[in-house]
Amino acid sequence: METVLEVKQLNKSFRNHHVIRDVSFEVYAGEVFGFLGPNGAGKTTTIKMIMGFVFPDSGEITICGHSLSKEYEAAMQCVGGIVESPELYKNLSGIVNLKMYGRLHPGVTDERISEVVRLVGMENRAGEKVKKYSLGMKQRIGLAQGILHKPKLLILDEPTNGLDPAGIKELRTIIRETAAKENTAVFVSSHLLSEMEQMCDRVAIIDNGVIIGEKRVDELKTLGTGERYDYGVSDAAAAIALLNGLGLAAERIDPRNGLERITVQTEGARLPELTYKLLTAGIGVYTVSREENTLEDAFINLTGGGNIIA
Amino acid sequence: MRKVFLLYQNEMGKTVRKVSILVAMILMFVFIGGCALTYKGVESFTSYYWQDYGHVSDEFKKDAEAAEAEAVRLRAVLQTLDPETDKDSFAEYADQYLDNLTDQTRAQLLARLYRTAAEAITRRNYSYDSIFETMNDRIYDTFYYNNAPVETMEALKAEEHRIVADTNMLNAELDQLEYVFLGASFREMLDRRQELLESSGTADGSYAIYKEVYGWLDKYADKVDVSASDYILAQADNYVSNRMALNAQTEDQPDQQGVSFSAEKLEKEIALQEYALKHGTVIGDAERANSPVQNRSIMNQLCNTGTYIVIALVIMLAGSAISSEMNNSSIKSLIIAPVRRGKIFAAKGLALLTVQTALLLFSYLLSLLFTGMLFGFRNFGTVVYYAFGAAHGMPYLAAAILSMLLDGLAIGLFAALALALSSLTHNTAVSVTLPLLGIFGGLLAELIMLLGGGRPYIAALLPIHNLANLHRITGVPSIFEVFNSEYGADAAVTPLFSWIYVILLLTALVWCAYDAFCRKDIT
Repeated sequence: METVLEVKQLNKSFRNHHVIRDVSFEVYAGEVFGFLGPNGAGKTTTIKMIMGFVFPDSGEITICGHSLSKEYEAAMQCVGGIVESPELYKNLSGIVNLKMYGRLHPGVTDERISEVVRLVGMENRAGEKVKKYSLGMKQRIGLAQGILHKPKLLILDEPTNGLDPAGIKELRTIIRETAAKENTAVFVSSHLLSEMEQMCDRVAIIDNGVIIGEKRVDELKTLGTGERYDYGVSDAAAAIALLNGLGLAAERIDPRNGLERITVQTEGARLPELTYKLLTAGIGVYTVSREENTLEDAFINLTGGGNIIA
Repeated sequence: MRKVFLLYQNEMGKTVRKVSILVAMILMFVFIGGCALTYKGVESFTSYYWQDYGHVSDEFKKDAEAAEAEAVRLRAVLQTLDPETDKDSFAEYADQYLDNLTDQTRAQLLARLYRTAAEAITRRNYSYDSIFETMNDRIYDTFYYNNAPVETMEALKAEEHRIVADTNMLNAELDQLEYVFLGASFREMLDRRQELLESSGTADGSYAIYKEVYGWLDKYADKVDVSASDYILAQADNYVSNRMALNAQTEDQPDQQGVSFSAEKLEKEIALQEYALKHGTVIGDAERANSPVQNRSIMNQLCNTGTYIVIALVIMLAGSAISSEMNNSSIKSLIIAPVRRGKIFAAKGLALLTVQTALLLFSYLLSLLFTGMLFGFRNFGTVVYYAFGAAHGMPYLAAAILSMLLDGLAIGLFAALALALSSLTHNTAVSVTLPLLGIFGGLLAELIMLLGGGRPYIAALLPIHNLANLHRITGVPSIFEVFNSEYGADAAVTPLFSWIYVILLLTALVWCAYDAFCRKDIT
């Protein structure tokens, strides 16, 4: 598998605050790579270093085999993307912004510009000045700008910001198609874990400037501690005390349909025994359901809980 | 280079869009305001003097008529008196008669002088204040002398004869003046002066010099603009005086103003005058109607105004070139392009340079257009300057372009300062305000002083001032320094040192801006 982005031992400090510590990962052609982490974890700083906004104190970034520090232009020729939010010239129209950007990349034709404008669904508004655009429209033009020159590495920092549900779905489709059809490596950071679950092939999780896990999405989901069952009970506190007494991890979760609920990490084989013990202890059991571990579970499990939105 | 050019195209697109609305607004303002003020100014100036001189002339005519009637009456009385028997009465009436005769001729001469001046003003749109005042003073001086009492008819006739002789002399001078006022051709004026010179002869040795000068002028007599002719002749007189002074004076003798005589300075002045006379052109910046110099003066004022506008625009553009992109994050779309930051910086710098040059050129052409529209499209003549030990001439329009380039370099230094501040601080307000204060701070200070001084402080707000501070701070010589040779041996610093200073300053500022732009993190 062709390595498009290789990050090795990146370090960065701002005013003696060490924000990125020995960050290393690789992104391959044709995959969508998710970059997850709570606020302030160092996601955007890492992206800014990859895109040349911020200079690393140490470490090496290689894009398409070109060192960013030594062969900047060759490396950046392979990159397209959005950092934080799409930054466009507000007094110019979307199409002029795209033309200005396209001028710097050989081979970008007017037809290609029209194609990407259609792809992001902006064909009717691209002639208007950017200052009249909503955030979602700016995101679309930003994405169009990012994929305009068919980069081998597409970097998208929080790309779903400002998009409505339909827009998010379209974006997901565009990203997946871009990765699949053009064999582009897509590097996405986002707080929307559910989207990342559906969008990404692999995910790296960063916390306090350190990569704490890097797995395929399906592998990461299994990082939860075994199977999990939710009980609808008459007395949640008594049930938690009983289960904890048996050496199981149990905790209260949000009530549903007027029922108090708890969740417990256990194996399916022990389910009859536990249910019997709850009942004999005088605790009413109304519902029992098996729950899937999600990326969120894995994320919380790895980071110890952070500012994420499921 | 190709990428720099492509980035440059982008930068030009952005900058031109940014500047176009502002320029259009300023142009409209300058055009309407400038035309209205100039038209109003010329109109009121002309009509004021016309009415004034016309009115004064009519008054003097009335005085002359009254005095004439009185003279007739007094002469009739005198003819009835016997000077021997009515000695006292005769002497009293004779004095009255002579005074009256003096008043009469003086009033007639003054009426003629004022009428001529008024007509000249109407025809030429200009007040010949200095000539008028001179003639007026001479008329008064001639007629106000202490006259001894006239006791006999012979004495009376002698006095009458003297007054008539004085009047004739003044009339002759007025004739000469009318040539000037009413636009005789330069050749006519030259011929007349040559006749006078030949008939009078000169005892002071100036004759030979005059002959030489008129010989030069004769070659250009048909080419000289009539409106400039009187000044060229004045220049010729000045030249002869200078040559005479140079012959007569030594280094040790102070001249009449108490200034030490400098043969070198005088020789320089003579060289300039000689060049001007030989080439039928005019030295100096005197304001006079319909002359190349007047057009130059107006053009200079308009160019200066334009330069101030360009300074403000360029500094606003340079001060915001990097910081505004940093603040609104549009810099990100440039940074993710596959070009090094150095090239982005180079493209921005080139775009600024292009816009500045284009604006200066535009302002220059606009000034030319306005000057032509207001005062007619005519030859601007030649600017005479002294350099490398000899006098040289340069067509005014070329000199104006040279001036524009020198101003442009000085503005470029301030623009580089704005760019460096923009790059270092990412703060547009600071980057624009500090350089503007550097240039206009003097005006601001003057305004503050005037606020306490009770003078018309609004004048300090006018952009028409001098650009000396701009050149003084940056070390770039102004066109005046270049032309007046002040930027030579007489200057405080040598031209070489001054240019080294300019180059070092420019390099340092551009390097600061470049280094900060290329090495700073964009967070």
